Amino acid sequence: MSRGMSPHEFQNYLGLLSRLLRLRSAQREAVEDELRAHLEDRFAALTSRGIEPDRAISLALAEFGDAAALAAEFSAVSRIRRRRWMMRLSIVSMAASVLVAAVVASLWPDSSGPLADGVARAQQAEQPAAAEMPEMVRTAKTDANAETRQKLEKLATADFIEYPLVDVLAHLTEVAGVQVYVDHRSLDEVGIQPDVPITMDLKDVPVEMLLRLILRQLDLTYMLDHGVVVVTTPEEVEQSLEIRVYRVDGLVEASGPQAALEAATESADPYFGRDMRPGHGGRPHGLDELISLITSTVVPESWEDVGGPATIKPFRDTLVVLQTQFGQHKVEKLLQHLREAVAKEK
Amino acid sequence: MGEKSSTDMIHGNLDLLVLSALADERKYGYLIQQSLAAASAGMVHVQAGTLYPLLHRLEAEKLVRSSWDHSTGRKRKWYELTPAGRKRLTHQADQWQQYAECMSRMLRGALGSALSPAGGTL
Repeated sequence: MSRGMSPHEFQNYLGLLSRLLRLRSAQREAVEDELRAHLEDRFAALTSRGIEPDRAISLALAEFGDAAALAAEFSAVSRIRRRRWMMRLSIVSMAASVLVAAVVASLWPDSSGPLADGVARAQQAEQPAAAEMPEMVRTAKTDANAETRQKLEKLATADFIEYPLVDVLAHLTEVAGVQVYVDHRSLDEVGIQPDVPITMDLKDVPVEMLLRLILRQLDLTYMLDHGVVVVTTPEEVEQSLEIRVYRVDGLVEASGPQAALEAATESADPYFGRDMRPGHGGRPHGLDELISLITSTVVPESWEDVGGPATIKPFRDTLVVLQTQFGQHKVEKLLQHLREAVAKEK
Repeated sequence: MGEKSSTDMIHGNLDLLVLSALADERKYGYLIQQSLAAASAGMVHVQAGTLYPLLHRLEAEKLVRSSWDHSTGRKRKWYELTPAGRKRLTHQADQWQQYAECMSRMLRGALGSALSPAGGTL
């Protein structure tokens, strides 16, 4: 290990820097390793030119400057990373959820249809009203958001040349019949004026898509809150992760005598969920597969095991998911598509 | 116009310079710093405290990608251009070329009549 060869001044500096970095521990170690290699290279080059070791150490360290300022720079980069992550949400997960539905549907044994059939069904599945969504444990808030989401599917035509943002938003939300709120404080923080000119020319596309494309031009996004479209920054949305509970019964229960036996054993004990039962083997059959399906297809880079902020945990017959609103919507859609595919099989 | 000013102008385009340092082969941070210094005959010395956050930002922007290896006998983080990074480099280098040629053509006249207050060839 090169660690042992480092002058202890380098270690002190890197240790201080590492404590100041607002990054995960693996990322902090990577930064330390990278900078240590540089310091050692620089030290070797300087001493080989006949510079005294003490002087070489201070020269090498001086090139990195103040540890706090450097740590702040690295942390700022990680904010860019998170920001890009938010920007990619819309593209990646929308494509993924349709694709998964298509693949699942086409894999089902009595699915008459090849891929196209699956896609058609996936598109149909975009339509259901709030009351028809059995996946999510519902609340008044989620119902209102589901209703708005459906209204945003309405088709509209955008023909704006250098129109002020606020007017464009007012027009689109009026067409869809929903309310809009512009988060002026957040927009102000990123230096965007509410009357920034927008140009967009698209015919007969969902209002949701127009909204998304227009806001993306400005590095902005939107979220739904009690049915209201809130226009804000990706940072703001990212900070507002929300918890939702999804029912997964019917998707994870194993068929066959073994499952029935397990179910019977469980009902004998009302105090323990499946996860907590000793000797049960952990989880309902298929739950791990379902979690892995969700985390690999819905905004794959967002989950905690790959360094993102989102989490997914099983609890009895439910999945407890901490995700952005957009991610939650995609989880909901995926479960819905899966349920439809299962229903078709039966 | 002193040397300081032209150095400032160069340092205003560090992203492009760092991408250009990776044009031919992958490099680790220290090598990038050294190759920029060599290519600019010592005019460009990117401080390490500037270089590493910049590299991390270019990586976050998917213009470069990195990998660790021990091939030099020491664990190092190597950077290389992504296709997007190469495209950006080519495009910006091309724009710079045009800009520099245009400025140099226009300023040649100005330099020639630098002592005249009207300063023009009009």
